[in-house]
Amino acid sequence: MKIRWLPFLLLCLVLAGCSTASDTGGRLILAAEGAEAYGSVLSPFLWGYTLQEAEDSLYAELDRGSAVACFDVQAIPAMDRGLGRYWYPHVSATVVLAVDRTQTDAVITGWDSLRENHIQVGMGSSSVMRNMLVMGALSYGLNRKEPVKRDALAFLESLVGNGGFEPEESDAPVLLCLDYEAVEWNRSGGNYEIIVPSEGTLSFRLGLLSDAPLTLEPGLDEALLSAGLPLANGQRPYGFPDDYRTARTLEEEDYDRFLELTGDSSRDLRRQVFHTRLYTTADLREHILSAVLVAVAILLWKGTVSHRMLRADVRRAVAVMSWLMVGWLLLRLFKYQLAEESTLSRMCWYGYYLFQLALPAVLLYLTEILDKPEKERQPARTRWPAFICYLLSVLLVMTNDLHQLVFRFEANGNWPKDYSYGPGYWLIIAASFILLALAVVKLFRMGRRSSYRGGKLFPLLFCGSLLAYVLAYIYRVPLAWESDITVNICILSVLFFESALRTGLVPVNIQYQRLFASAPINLTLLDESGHTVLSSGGVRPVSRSLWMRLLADIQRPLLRDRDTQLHAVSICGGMAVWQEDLSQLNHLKREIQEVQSRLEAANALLREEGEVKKRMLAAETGRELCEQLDRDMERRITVLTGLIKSLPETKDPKRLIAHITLCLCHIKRRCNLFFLARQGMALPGDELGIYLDELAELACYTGVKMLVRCGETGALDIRRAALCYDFTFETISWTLEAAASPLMGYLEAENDCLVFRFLPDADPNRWRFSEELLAEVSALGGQITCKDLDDAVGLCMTLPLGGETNG
Amino acid sequence: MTNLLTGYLEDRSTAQYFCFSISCEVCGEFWYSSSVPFSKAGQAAEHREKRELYDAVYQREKNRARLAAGREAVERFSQCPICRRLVCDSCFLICDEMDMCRECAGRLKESGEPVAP
Repeated sequence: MKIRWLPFLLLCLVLAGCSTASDTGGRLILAAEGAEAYGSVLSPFLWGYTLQEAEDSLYAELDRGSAVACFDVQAIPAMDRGLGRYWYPHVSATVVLAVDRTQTDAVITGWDSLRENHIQVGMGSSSVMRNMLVMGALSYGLNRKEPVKRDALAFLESLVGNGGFEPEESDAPVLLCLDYEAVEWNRSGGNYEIIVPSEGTLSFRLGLLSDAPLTLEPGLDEALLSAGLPLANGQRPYGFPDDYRTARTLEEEDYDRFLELTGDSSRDLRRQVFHTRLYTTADLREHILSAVLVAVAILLWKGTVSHRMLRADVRRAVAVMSWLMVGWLLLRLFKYQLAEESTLSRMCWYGYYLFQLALPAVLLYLTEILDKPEKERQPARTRWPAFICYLLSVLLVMTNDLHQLVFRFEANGNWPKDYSYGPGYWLIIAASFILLALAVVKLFRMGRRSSYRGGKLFPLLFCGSLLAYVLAYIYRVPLAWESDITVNICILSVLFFESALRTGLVPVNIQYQRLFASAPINLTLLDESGHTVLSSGGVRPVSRSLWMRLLADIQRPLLRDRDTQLHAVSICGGMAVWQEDLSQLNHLKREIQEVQSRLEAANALLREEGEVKKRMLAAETGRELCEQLDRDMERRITVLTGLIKSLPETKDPKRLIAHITLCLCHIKRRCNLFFLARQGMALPGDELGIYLDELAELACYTGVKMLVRCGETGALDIRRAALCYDFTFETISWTLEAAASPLMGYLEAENDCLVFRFLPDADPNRWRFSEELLAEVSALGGQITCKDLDDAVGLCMTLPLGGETNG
Repeated sequence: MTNLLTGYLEDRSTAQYFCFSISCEVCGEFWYSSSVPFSKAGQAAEHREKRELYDAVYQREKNRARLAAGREAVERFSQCPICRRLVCDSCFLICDEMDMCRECAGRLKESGEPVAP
């Protein structure tokens, strides 16, 4: 439970502790008008019961087990409603006219004669019960068949107009009273003529109502008669009028009608007869209802102010003011419940000032904090004077019984009405006015730059009204004196403060809600308890779990859901939370992921397709290579096949085998060169020399003596190297066929040409090289020529290097 | 139910505290468990042995915090008996015959009050 409720609870406990003493039972309570004589006669006959004063209402006393002396109009309806089980009527009480013959000789026979004689009429009391009895008697008297309250009120109003009608006047020439009261006055030396109105009146029965059966000693009737009280059975002692024929006694079925007629008598008398309290509460019920309504309205107003204000300290100050007013009203309600004007009642009256005097002090404090930042500490010197002033004032009022400096009255008299003001009262009122004036001046100074210049009239108006009303009440101006000061001060205070809010004297944040509602920022302001103070339109509220998470680590953004991220920053009195919409970002991310996965799938497909194509290409290339190789080697293999076939028939198989070996070697190297050519590689001159030496070595086995020398040729492209190799092989083949051994060869580079010369030991002019070799040489721009060297003929193949030899 | 929820918990812990979350499968909103501070948060581990010790303590406390978060989540999540999804109290309706999630109630045209409005 919050600590701020503690004072309220303590107040409730204190007030609850102010109940009456515990019930002891056996009490005789008088709850009827003028029943003192009845009570004093009855008391010795009611054993076990002591006559005591009522501490509460009739019904509460009955509930406690007391025996209550009351009229039948009180007892019978109560029994009908389950309160009281035993009713013992003893005395008859008739509403009569008591004419003081020492003051008037007017002939009075009934109600109408009062209208005609212009005589002042009184009732001796204005209590609720007496009002009811008289109003009932008048209503039934003026219209016996269809009694209505309106007739009684009109009659009394006419009396006011004629000669005056004073309910509380007991010295008037004519009194509306009960018959045994008038007889008692006559016994005490008065000279009253007791008149039973000729138009009609009501007789009531006075008796005992109890929840338990009562045992009455015998002889009560005689004692009542000897005390001058008429009995309920119609027997009357000396001094009562003889003729009671016009008096009617209410029957069982008449009581509800009676209550209907006489209900709200006090209110109707005030408003319709005396024309007072037309605009304020007129009876207890209205007092209570108005106080409750105003208290509820104040609390609602406090709620709206709290909603409009963001500053916690200002909210607290307004809350204190509201609770002060509500406390004042509640204390007043409590005082209404007290049956008698006791010391407790008077302390409640003093207690009003506990709340009333605090209002200007709190208002001054509010003006002090308004123009300063919320967290700034106020210097004590600005607060203590008002607080000390308030404390001294309250102390002075609460100790008034000791010194009578504030209110002066007779403690045993009618102090609620008959009191005057002492110097202390003027002192505390002056102090309150000074505090209020200081607060108002400060408010207007702070609000002088406000744009509501014309509107400042309203706070001034309400403030002026408040002061004027309080002064009028103090000086008992009837309009103010007859009104409800607590309710009126509370209403005027609220109106003053509300107008100050509306006109900008007290800054509020009325427009923040609209600003937030229309701002597309997804911002929420939370208070220290995690409750939403302001929120942009359409923003989902921040749950307690999220708030606690943000509070624990405010720096870290928090995912509300997959598409919303919360960011928070600590602010004075809470935190600001804004929500970032990640849905677009997430949508893009998802799209990117989808595109990425599609690309990955496409890449995988392409990769697989590439692999397949590569495999197909490799197979195709291999097949093409094989075909090309087959084509290249076809003629050579045909030659080789021919050689191999002729092997069984040859005479010199050794030489032929050597020839076959030579052919195989040639085919093998040509295959090598074929694949090297496909790889685009060059063949170093040294390696070509090795190939040629290999051919020369194998040629030796065929009987051809041969020497091949390679000069500095550098790296050769495969095509030229293959031509050199083929040229060598065909030259060896011709030498073998033409027995032109020995054979000498020389390969060298000359002037950008590759020159390969052979010097055989026979004329090579008759030998023809293969068409493929010649075509290849020509295709490279080269040629194969025979050169006559005087004593020999040489073969020469010339191939342009084309810049590749030095590459 | 606690075991089921514990299995669904997403780790949101940092080096300073332990925290877990569960997403409602209807509204998508995350619920976050109460933060449990790490007992050794802010204490520097000067050498490797101490760091290993702290790591072990961290894991042990994290497991405890996970269990506590699962117990805490039981108070706020329910499993829809129809679609078997985990839903928060705002999305779980108390219906006349059988309690169910908001979406199932909509499909079955059932009316009810949410556990936590």
